[in-house]
Amino acid sequence: MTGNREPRDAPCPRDGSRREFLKNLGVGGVATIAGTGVALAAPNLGGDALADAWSDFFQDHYQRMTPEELANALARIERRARRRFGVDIRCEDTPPLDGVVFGYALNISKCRGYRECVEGCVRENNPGRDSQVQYIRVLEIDRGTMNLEGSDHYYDPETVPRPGKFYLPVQCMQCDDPPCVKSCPVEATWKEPDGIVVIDYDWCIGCRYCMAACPYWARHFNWTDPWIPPAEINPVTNYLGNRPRAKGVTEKCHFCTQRTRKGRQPACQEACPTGARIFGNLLDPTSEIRYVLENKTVFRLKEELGTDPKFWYFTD
Amino acid sequence: MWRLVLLSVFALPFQILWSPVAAVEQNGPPSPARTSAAQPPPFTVVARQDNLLFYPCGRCHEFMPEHPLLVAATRPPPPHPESLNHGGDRLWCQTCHSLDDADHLRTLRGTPVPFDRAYLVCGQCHANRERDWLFGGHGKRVANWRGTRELYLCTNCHDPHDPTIKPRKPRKPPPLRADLGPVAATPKGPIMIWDERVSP
Ligand code: HEC
Ligand code: HEC
Ligand code: HEC
Ligand code: HEC
Repeated sequence: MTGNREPRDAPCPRDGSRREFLKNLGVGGVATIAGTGVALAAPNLGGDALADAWSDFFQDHYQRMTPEELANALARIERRARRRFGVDIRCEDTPPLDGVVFGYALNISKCRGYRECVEGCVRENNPGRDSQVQYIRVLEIDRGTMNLEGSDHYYDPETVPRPGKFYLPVQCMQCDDPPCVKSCPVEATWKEPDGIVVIDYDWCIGCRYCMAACPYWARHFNWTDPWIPPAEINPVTNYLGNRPRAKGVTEKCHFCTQRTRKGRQPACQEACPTGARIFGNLLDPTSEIRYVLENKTVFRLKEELGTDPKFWYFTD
Repeated sequence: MWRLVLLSVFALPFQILWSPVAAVEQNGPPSPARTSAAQPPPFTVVARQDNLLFYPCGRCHEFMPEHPLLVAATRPPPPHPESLNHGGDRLWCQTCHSLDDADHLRTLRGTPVPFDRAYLVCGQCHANRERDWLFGGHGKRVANWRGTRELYLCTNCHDPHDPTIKPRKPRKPPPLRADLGPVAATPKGPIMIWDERVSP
C-alpha cells in the first residue's frame, strides 16, 4: 500500500495565493500581538482550543503540507471532534493505491428503491444529521422514460418498488474531467491518482461554484454547523474523506476513501441487499466492474456533457 | 502428525468434489459458452448449510420411505416449505432434493450437490444468472473489492421455494430543506417554487 501521489514538496502551479492572502490578513489582524516572524508559532494561551484555532488558520493546502504539518493537522482534527462531540475519533491520511482507478456500476433492474445505500452512507460518512446532506439520492422515475426532471426522490410509499416505476440512485460520478474541479477558485478540490475527486474541507472557502458546475447535483453545502449525535459518529476517518466537517464547506461522495483505499467495499455497496452495486478497480481485467463494462450494455448519465463519469448504469 | 495425514486423506475426495472443474464435469459435458469464456476468478461463499434449521436432513429422511403419495397424506413439518412457488407447476421438491440422500441437493442428472454449492443447481436452469454471478455481475461480493473473493449464495437472496423478492418498506425519505415543500413530480417536470408563485 504505497502512495503514488506527487511528492509533497512538488511546487504547486498557483502556490499559496490563498494562503498568502489569508496570512497577510491574519498578520494584519493580530499585528499588535504578534510580529510577522512569529505568525506561524501557535501561542500557548487558553489550552488546545485557542492554539488549534490559531494553527487551523495557518494550515496549508493538503498537497503542500509537510508530513509533520499533516500529522499536526490530523491531531487537531481529532481534538476538535473530541471537543465538539466528546468522541475519540481517529483521523488518518490514507494514500491512494498504486495501479488502482476506481469505478462503480449500478444495475438499475435490480435496484428496488429501498434506500439502504443512503442509510449506509450516512452511517459511514459523518454528514450532519440536521443539515440535509445526503450523498446519494434515489430517484423514482416512470418506467419507459428517462425524465430526470420528472423524478421524485422524496417518495415514501408503503412498499417499494412501486408498479410502473424504476429507481435510479445518483451520487458523485467521480468524473474523469470534473467540472467542479475546474470551477474551484482556490483548488480546494482535485482528482486523486485513483480517480476519486476529493475536497480539502479546510481549504474550501464555501463559494459553492462547484455545486453550480456539477451536472449531477452531487455536491452539498453545509448551511448549518453539522451536528451528529455522538453515538452515531463513525470514529474511523480519513482526511480526504469522512472526517467531521465544518459549517460553510461543500462535501460529496468520495467513494468512501477511508474504506476503499484499504481494500474494503464502499458503505453503499455493503448496505445494498440486492447486489445492484458493483465496485472495483478499472485497471484490473479480472475485476467485477470490468466484467460488467465488457459484458453489459452500460450507459452513463448526461454522457453528452463530456465529463467522463466513472459511474455506469446498466440493466440485465 | 498422524492426524494431519488422516485429515488430508479424508479431505482429498472432498476437494475433488468441491473443485469447480470437477463440478462442471459432473454436470455433463461443459457447454461451449463455459469453455470459450475465461474462467471466473476464484471465490469462496458465505456458508449456509450449517445454519439450516433441519440440517442434517438424513436424521429423519434416512428412515422414511420415499413415497410421493405420503407428501399429500403427511404434511411435512416447518421449515419444510408449505408450498412451492417457483417456476409455475414445472418444478417439484425432487427437482432439487433427493430423498435417498437428503443431505445433498441434486442436479437434474442426479449428481449430489452440497447445499453450499446451490448455484450449481440453480445454474442448470438460470445459466445466464449463474455466469453473471460467477464473474460478479449478479449477486454480491462481501466486504472487500480485492483479496479473497467471498460471495453470497443465490439462496442468500432468493428463497428457492419462493424466489421472487418481495416488495418492502423503504427507508425514510431525505429531510426537506427548511421552508421548501417536496417538489411534486408531474409528467411535465417538477412544480418549482417559482411556478407556484407566478401561477394564480
Ligand atoms: C424432523 C424430521 C425431518 C427432518 C430433520 C427433515 N425432514 Fe423432510 N420431511 C419430514 C417429513 C415428516 C416429511 C413428510 C413425509 C414425506 O413426504 O415422506 C418430509 C418431507 C420432505 C420432502 C418432500 C418429500 C417428497 O416426497 O417429495 C422434502 C423434499 C424434504 N422433506 C426435504 C428435507 C430436507 C432438504 C431436509 C434437511 C434440510 C429435511 N427434509 C429434514 C421430516 C423431516
Ligand atoms: C429449485 C430447487 C428446489 C426445490 C424445487 C425445492 N427446494 Fe428445498 N431447498 C433448496 C435449496 C437450494 C435449499 C437450501 C436453502 C438455503 O440455503 O437456505 C433448500 C432447503 C430446503 C429445506 C431446509 C430449509 C431449512 O431452513 O432448514 C427444506 C426442509 C426443503 N428445502 C424442503 C423442500 C420441499 C418440501 C420442497 C418441495 C415442496 C422443496 N424443498 C423444493 C432447493 C429446492
Ligand atoms: C429445473 C429448473 C430450475 C431450477 C433448478 C431453478 N429454477 Fe428458478 N425458475 C425456474 C423456472 C421455470 C422459473 C419461472 C420462469 C418464468 O416463469 O419466467 C424460475 C424462476 C426463478 C426466479 C424468478 C422469479 C421471478 O420473480 O420471476 C428466480 C429469482 C429463481 N427462479 C431463482 C432460482 C434459484 C435461486 C434457484 C436455485 C436454488 C433456482 N431458481 C433453480 C426453473 C428453475
Ligand atoms: C445479493 C443478492 C442476490 C444474489 C446472491 C443472487 N440474486 Fe438473483 N436477483 C437478485 C435481485 C435483487 C433480483 C431482481 C429481482 C427483482 O427486482 O424482481 C434478482 C433476480 C434474479 C432472477 C430473476 C430475473 C428476472 O428477470 O426477474 C433470477 C432467475 C435470479 N436472480 C437467479 C439467481 C441465481 C441463479 C443466483 C445465484 C447464482 C442469484 N440469483 C443470486 C438478488 C440476488
